[in-house]
Amino acid sequence: MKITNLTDEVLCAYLDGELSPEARIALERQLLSEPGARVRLDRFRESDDRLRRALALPSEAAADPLVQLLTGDSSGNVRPIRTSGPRRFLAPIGLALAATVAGLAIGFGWRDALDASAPSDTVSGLVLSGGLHEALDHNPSGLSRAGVMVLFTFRREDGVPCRQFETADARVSSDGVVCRDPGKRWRVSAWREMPRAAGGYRSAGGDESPVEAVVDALDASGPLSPGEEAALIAKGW
Amino acid sequence: MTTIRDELVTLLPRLRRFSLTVAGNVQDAEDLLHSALERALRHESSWQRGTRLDSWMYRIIRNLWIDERRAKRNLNVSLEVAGDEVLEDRHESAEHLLDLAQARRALLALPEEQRSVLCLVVLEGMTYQEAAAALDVPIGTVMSRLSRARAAMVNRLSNDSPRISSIKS
Repeated sequence: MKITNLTDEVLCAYLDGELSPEARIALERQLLSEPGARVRLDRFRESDDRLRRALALPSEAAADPLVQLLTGDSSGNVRPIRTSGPRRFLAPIGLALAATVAGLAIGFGWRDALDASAPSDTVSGLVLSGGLHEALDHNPSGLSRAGVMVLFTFRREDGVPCRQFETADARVSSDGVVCRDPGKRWRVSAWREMPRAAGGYRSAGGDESPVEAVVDALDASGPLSPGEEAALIAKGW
Repeated sequence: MTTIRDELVTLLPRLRRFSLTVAGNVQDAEDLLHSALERALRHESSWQRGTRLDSWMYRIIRNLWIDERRAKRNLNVSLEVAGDEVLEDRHESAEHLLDLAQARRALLALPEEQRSVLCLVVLEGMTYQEAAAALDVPIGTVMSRLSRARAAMVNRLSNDSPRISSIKS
């Protein structure tokens, strides 16, 4: 048995004990001759370990007001969750923009990267131009350059490469996913903008992310390896 | 015989960690956890003894969070604060604390969907099947979100380090 495509999903399944015994043995045999995959697996393992240390459960039971809540005599003692008044970290309602897919109205920042003059027969999506197009053409995943960070590259079911990315300028951050079209342009499949507070990149919390949902629907390969991605960049996609 | 309240007390640290992972900051996480406990106690009869209480609670927490965000349409999450507020009472070297804060920030910069999967599988040790049930998504979605989350974590954590070599090298 040989695993023909050592994707990140396969490596994750190995790490999480989700492979069958046969597949596990086959993978371990392949790892002996695939140093790149071993390195990738080690990076995943190291990242997991750092996460476990970073969010380790407390070793000692501290006084917890919620224990009082749970051990009280009556559920009538339960304090209702605060539903009024401003929350410390939340911006006023309505400031946030959630815009996706074709026809979206881009408010600030990177809107100039959208090519409004795209021929109408190119349809559903808006296409990118300018600096963002350049960044998506050339930036490897994980590196932040000129306000753009590509999160990862994947393939659609039809083999077309797509990239999920984040952008940030002084006022707005955004995330989106684009796919390569036959005209060698990046076509927007989903895009969302958010007002930006202090700090670097951010992703939206809470409600199901429209961008993430689109990525879920499109992603047929899982993240391409850095080597596969570098090859696509080198040949101009 | 233990009551659901006893079991929830035992689960509290893990529920708090999941709430923090979902909400992205300590204040919202505490509110969320409080609200989830309240809902659980009010609907105690809908939990089937013999099934996993933690999975039931994770589902309540996440559904509450989605409901609330859907109502408020608020897409801002304090990613900066959460990274440091949970450091309380730890006596560790500055370098180690920095390392932990970087990992927390890398996690909190992920989309919530990826954070939740990562938390359930990596931190809580759930199987893919269990995580899929807790999040009410197909297993394939758990797998793809998990691989994207790990890839993004590695990218972010190694941002200042040499690039990872290719799998196919």
